[in-house]
Amino acid sequence: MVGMTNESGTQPYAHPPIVEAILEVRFASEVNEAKLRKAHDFIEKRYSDSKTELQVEAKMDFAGRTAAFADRPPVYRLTSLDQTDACVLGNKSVAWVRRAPYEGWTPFCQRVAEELIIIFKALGGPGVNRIGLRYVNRIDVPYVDHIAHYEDYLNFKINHTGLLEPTLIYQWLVVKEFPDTKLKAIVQSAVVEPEIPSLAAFSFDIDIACEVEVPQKADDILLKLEAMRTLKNTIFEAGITDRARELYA
Amino acid sequence: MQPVQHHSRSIVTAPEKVRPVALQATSAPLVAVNDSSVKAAIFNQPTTYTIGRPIADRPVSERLFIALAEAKVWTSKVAMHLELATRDRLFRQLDVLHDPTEWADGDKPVSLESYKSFVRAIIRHSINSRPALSLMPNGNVLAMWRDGEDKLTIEFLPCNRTRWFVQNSTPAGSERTASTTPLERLRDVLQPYGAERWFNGS
Repeated sequence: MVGMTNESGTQPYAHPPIVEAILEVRFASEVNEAKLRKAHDFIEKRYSDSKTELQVEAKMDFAGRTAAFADRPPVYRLTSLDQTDACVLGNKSVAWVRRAPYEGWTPFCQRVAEELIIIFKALGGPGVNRIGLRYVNRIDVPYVDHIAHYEDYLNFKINHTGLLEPTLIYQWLVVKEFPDTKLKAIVQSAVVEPEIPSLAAFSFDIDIACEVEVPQKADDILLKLEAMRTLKNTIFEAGITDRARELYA
Repeated sequence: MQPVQHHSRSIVTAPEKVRPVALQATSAPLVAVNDSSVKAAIFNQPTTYTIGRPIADRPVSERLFIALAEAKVWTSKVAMHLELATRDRLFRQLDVLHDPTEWADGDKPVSLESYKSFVRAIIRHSINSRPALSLMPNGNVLAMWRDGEDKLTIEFLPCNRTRWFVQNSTPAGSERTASTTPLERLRDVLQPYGAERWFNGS
């Protein structure tokens, strides 16, 4: 097993715990409204619905008792009919979202690749200063004697003493840079609201970021995504136990 | 441990709520001098807000879209426990129930909390049958099963509660029973009326 998706890019788990996969490209400078609208119009037909969110910038001067308002370019939120696929296009970034059920890297990346090229063409090659690939996993586990043992499902855990066991909640976040790939990983986990009766839940959230030597062309970005995906998969597989894998089989 | 709040993270569109939200932290120590200039500096930074009318004031089609979108996005949190065919069928039924051209003034779109109870019941009780769905005027989900002359109707209430009605044929004649029960006990309380015939199969 290589990761959340195998080398062919298909989904190896029957019931993957991915709630949301996000790929975000942040622009180095704000793009103008006309180009933004053009990019939106180019990809609009690929989605079933498009909503325009109006943005206003407010600057409060409490000492002077004044406030200044200015209209800002809108944010376009495009979604598929079942809300699993989304694209959020604004003047500072574009993000693609795939919600559960996650079908694998290949279809997700294929959609991103097609639209990234279209959007970059419409925006006239915007500068890019950050690429983020984030997977929010949700792991539902049964209670044993009224306690949910998250440590049985995650290899990454807080090593506190028995004094604090059992915990009511936990939350941790780790940031690590990987000099060889010049990528950064922001990994976090926390107890989250349970949604299924009799099951506790916690998140396992992996955000891989490229913030240095950020590729600027669409083709180079797609190439970089492969390295980001590999790191994300490595962290995921290292982070979960076989018992967690049994939940997804 | 390094401070983490300054790390730039990728967005999420359906953030998980860390629980318990009501957990109270002890107040931070009082500072010797209340440096209001710091706060003023923060407020003087331009901040961008999304603006929009309250949902209740929006056109019907938009209100229906929002209710549907909320239900479908929430479903992604439990999608790993649902068969894909079941999810797709639910979404089709929701879409039909929210057809703007058929929408009656005054009706409310699906209540998210009622919908959650319905989906949780499907997962908790492995309901793989295909009930007819309807919406109560308040937006609660109503699921209906039929077996000949016998009927089972369940209204899914918020907070994992249900209100059900059974019409059951017996040798002594038809009997009707109604009650409310927590979602988790649904199969148990319907057992005398043959829960399997309603919940198992098509």
